[in-house]
Amino acid sequence: MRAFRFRTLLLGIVVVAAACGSSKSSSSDNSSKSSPSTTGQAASSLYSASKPLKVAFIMNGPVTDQGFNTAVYKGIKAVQEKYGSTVAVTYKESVPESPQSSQVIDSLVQDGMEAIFANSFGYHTYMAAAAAKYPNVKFLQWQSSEVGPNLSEFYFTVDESWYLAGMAGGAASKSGKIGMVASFPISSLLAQVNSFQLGAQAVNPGATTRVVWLNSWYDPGKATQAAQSLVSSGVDTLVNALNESSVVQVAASHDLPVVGQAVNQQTFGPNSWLTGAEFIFGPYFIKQIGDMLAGKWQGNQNYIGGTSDGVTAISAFGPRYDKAVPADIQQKIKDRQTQMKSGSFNPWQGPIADQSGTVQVPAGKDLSAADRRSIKYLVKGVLGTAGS
Amino acid sequence: MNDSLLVTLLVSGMVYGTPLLIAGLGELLTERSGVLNLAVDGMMLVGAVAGFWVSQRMGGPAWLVLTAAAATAMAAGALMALVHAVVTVTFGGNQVVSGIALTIFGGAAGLSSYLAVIGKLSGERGHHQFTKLDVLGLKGVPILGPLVFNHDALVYVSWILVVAIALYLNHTRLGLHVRSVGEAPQTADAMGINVTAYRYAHIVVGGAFAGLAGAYYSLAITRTWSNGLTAGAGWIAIGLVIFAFWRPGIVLVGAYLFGVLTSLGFTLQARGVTLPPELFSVLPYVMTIVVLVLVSTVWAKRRVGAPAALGAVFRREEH
Repeated sequence: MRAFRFRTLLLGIVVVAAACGSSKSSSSDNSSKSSPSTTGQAASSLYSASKPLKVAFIMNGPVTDQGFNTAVYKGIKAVQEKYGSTVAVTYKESVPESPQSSQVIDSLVQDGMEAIFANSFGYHTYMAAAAAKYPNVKFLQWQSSEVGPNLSEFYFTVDESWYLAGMAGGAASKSGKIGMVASFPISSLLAQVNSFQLGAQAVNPGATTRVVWLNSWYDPGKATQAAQSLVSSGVDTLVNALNESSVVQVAASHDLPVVGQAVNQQTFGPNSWLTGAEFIFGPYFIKQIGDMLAGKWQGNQNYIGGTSDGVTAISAFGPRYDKAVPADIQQKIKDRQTQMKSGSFNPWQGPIADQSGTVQVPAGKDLSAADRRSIKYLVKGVLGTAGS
Repeated sequence: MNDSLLVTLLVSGMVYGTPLLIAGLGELLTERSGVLNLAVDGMMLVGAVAGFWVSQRMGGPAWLVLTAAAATAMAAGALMALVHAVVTVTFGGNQVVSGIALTIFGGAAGLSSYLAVIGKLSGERGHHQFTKLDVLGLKGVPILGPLVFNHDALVYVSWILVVAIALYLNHTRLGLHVRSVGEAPQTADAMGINVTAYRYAHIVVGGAFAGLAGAYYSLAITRTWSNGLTAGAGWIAIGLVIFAFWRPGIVLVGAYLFGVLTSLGFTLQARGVTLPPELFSVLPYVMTIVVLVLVSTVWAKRRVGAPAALGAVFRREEH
């Protein structure tokens, strides 16, 4: 009897631990430079190497994920290159999106951080609470519903790059059956899936994109399984909407063209790589920190940047691009890219119908980047659920 | 026929169940000697990074590099297990605490990540991978072809291990000794069996298997290293041993079942079954609980349970 109870209890613990196994419960700390910080000065004081501006970045995964967090890390490196020792940067990786993040924020503030960038939507409630608690610290949150005097939000509409990548993917797919592996069916990701499909059907009217949701931000084993199951269901082009490279590797192993995201993931599938939809954090971080250094940073911003602001672009094309995408479509993609850089083309132009046929964006209208962030539907041509 | 849903599902389940199987067999050996090892996930990660390191930095033909990588992964897991053995067997420390401490130490923000940083391994594409073999040229045979004749080397190794461990435990004198050490160490000690030696040996071997299972992730399933690559698989392996009533054959069934269920979720999504995706991700865990409940009621009468001395400290009584 005792053995039975012990075994059951043990099994219960283990099942729970396994189910939570993919969440990260740790963070690491890396300071590039550090020096004693001074108390908050008047807005006009200058920062210097002996009195640098202390800035921290919080991320929900490792900087080496070859996805979103690597893109953030590249932005951090851009800041360090630009401002040198005038700015002292700290970053925390794999911070869980839970009340534990409040403790991380508290300890950063105690370490003298004057600005904290939180690079995932999951931190927004904790950042808002911290902004109220520490009025002298500046908080910048990726996607947030609230802003305040010391709290701003930022978002890059990578939809534009996804549209271009969709054009490439749609052209490369001979059968028109494209498969995508994505993480969670949240609004901003639904917008990305939709943008890809809109681009694909613009050059290949019958193209469909089947989306498989991983329900994890990061699980290379499951991502490989998901990609394999898409391949065995008959798709001939893969799209990686995840923050790691497994899907690109699976595509390479079957010699299928692949589209990636966040950073250039070509090294994981050199002969399969078409292009990708990248996040470019450098320009935004540099501008915000520049304002802080000059003492003119202001909160209450809802920043939405696009191709024309330099915060998103498509990756360099791989050799597969020339093989798989015909020259006339390559030209169309180039033209659209130019239009997006000047801000004169919105990929979401009506009429756009969702999977059930209901027209969500009427003819003659287009959907702004801000409105796209809260959609709950998948467009016609996308196969798969939009989540609950 | 070989591309049918059922066959691809089974093959996928076998591939993703293999690291669970290997780690589970190692944990089975350790627990049969009466010691609980909760550090499996940490050992898997350390093994994964060690194996990947060798694969990236060693020159030579693929088979040689991969063998060396697998051996290094086993050695890394064994070293971590040696720490656990010293703490729990020699010093009589609490096995649960030691195991959890070691798994955090080796885990996603610990030793394995540190090794990746100093070896500059993150974000690199693997040079070598365990590729699928074509055994006896039979991979095209209907159904049995992909299921039996078209796997990578480590899958076949895992099958040999299942048979070997079952024979060892049930049909050899050494196996009898280790089972008695796990059930009643005082009695075994009185009979002249060296409890300490058996426990050390089985803990270390268990760690070696965990290291090898981890290397399967970085050398066979994907060919990269990333922090936390195993995503909790070590914990599933520990659960599998309990689920399998400490019998090697059932560990194989359980591991493949878990693999199939994880794959089932994605396969159904890929073929257009429109259920909420969250349902698919809990499917393997729910099924594990369901099967355990069913099996417990049917088998309760057979009194097949944990080794009686599992988790307890053995102190030699002074006479």
